[in-house]
Amino acid sequence: VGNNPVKVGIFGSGNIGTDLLMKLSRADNIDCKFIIGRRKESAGVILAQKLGLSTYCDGINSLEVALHDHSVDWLADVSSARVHEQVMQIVERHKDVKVLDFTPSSLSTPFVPAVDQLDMRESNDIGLISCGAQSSAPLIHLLSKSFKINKLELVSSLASLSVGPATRQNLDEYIYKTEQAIAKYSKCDQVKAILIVNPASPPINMTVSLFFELADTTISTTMLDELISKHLKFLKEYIPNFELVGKVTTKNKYFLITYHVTGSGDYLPSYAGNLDVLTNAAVRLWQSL
Amino acid sequence: MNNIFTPIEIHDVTLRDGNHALKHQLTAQQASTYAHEASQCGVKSIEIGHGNGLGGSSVLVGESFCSDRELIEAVKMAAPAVEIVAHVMPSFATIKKDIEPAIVAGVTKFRVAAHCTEVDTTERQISYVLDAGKKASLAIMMITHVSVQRLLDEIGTASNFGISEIVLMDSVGRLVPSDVASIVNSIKENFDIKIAFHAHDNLGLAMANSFTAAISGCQTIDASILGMGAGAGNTPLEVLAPAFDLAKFDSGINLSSVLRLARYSRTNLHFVQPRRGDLEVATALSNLFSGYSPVIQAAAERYNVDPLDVAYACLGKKLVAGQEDLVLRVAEELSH
Repeated sequence: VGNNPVKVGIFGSGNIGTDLLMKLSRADNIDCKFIIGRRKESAGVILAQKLGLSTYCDGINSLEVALHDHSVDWLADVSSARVHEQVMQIVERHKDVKVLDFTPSSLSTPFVPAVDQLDMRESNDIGLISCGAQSSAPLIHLLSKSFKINKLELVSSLASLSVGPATRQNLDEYIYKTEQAIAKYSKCDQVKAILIVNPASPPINMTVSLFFELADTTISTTMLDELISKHLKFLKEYIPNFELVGKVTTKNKYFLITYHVTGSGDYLPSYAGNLDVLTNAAVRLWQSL
Repeated sequence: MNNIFTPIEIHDVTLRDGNHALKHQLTAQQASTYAHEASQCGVKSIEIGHGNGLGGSSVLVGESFCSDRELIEAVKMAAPAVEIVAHVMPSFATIKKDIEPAIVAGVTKFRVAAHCTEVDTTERQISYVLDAGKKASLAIMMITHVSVQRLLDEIGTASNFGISEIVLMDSVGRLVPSDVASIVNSIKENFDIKIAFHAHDNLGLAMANSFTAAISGCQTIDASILGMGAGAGNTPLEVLAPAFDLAKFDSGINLSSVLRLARYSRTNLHFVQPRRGDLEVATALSNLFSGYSPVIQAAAERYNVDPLDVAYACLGKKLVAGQEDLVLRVAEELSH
């Protein structure tokens, strides 16, 4: 453990908040101070008590108190896109606190640790976008560095059990934010994001398909396969269970790349790679500071 | 002899579900002509847009020839008296990109749709539509994926969303008439809500199921000209309307006009009557979205495998609607 661990508070005790808490509880150089939920019987709150952390149970009403009780460097907002604005209004009064936004709110600045440099001069509100964008951004970045992309479509399929109530209310924000980010990383403005919630039992692993058209029509699927295998380490940097499904293939004039992401099974079983994509990105960001 | 007719509404999905049969290449001209002629026949509500509903145009499902907006405007102009209805699946369609512009273009009723286990994903868009002063129904897709009890639980979840109608969608085409009767009766026993029924003809039972739905008390039955719709298609409008008439259901549709409309649609509008082959039966047996049959056919040809094997292998993957990417991957896996 380093001398100056990053001090973090978690706002939200749903699927992602609880998974984050579990990851932080064993991460070096990160000191989780508190978690805020809305019910004292929520899984995240109970776990935090076992870990000896401070817990609060009155949702947004607890935030000011928690920030007053604890001096933290970062607040992880794991609530919902529509609550994020209220969170920012409260954090405004605590000048030293930076926010890592796990919701798809339009307010936060999109950030992918593998691709972006952290720059907080413009905003103290950094967003992890969405599981679809966060997991695909390194791949999209790799493609757009090598080729001009004319059109891009991202289709994420998630297990129903891994999609909590906040996400279900935030599907629109999820789509907008994901499209905004993939447009940025692909340097292409013809983009579309689609999210499919699949209830299969046993649950499906998080699966993502990327359809894209390249300006250069001489590029082959073999060339793309080679490019990807050469950079696999970069693509898997903090998504260790990123696994390609089949080879690069085509549909009409579009290429298709499909991958699975499984998680380490902390709060939800391994099918819920969508949680790990975000929580691992957060750990990686805070450990790099 | 009883000469009292029971009113029933036939809701025309030709220009939405039928767009699947046209590979989403429906033109504003076709939509305009069809909507005008259909309204002359007495059709009172017309659904319009990409086959997967607003925002469905995609590499994944198929790109539209005309935008949803162009299609809506064409119908509005050609048939000002009909109710213009849009099918909306959250996560294909969003409020800002799709629902707001559709309202501006003339849609007055939205069927906000979700897979039969994910009804809570529709709340946000339903409440937006109602707040905007438009009508909203909840469309429950792929209902053959759940038990009647689960269906009732999902409708219970939606009962405080403010909707006055649910649409039961047999998106697979796997229901048999006795299922339809027991589902509709169970809903009526538990909820005071209007029910619409949407059939697919994969087992040749679209007519029988639609009839059973009407007899069981559904107020609205979906149909399309020539049965034009995804996979094996929907209930044919030109067959349903006369049959209803004989059974003393009053749909308000002029029978000789609707027969002429069917012929005109085939010869002049180049609408396509779907076929029910072995693959359409196999997708029903595999409980797959009816619209997957052309996707399976193309993937099977691509990877040189038997389309029936692809359909059966998809069964194991428990795909819902909108997972065309994975159908391709299933065929690829089989080819190894």
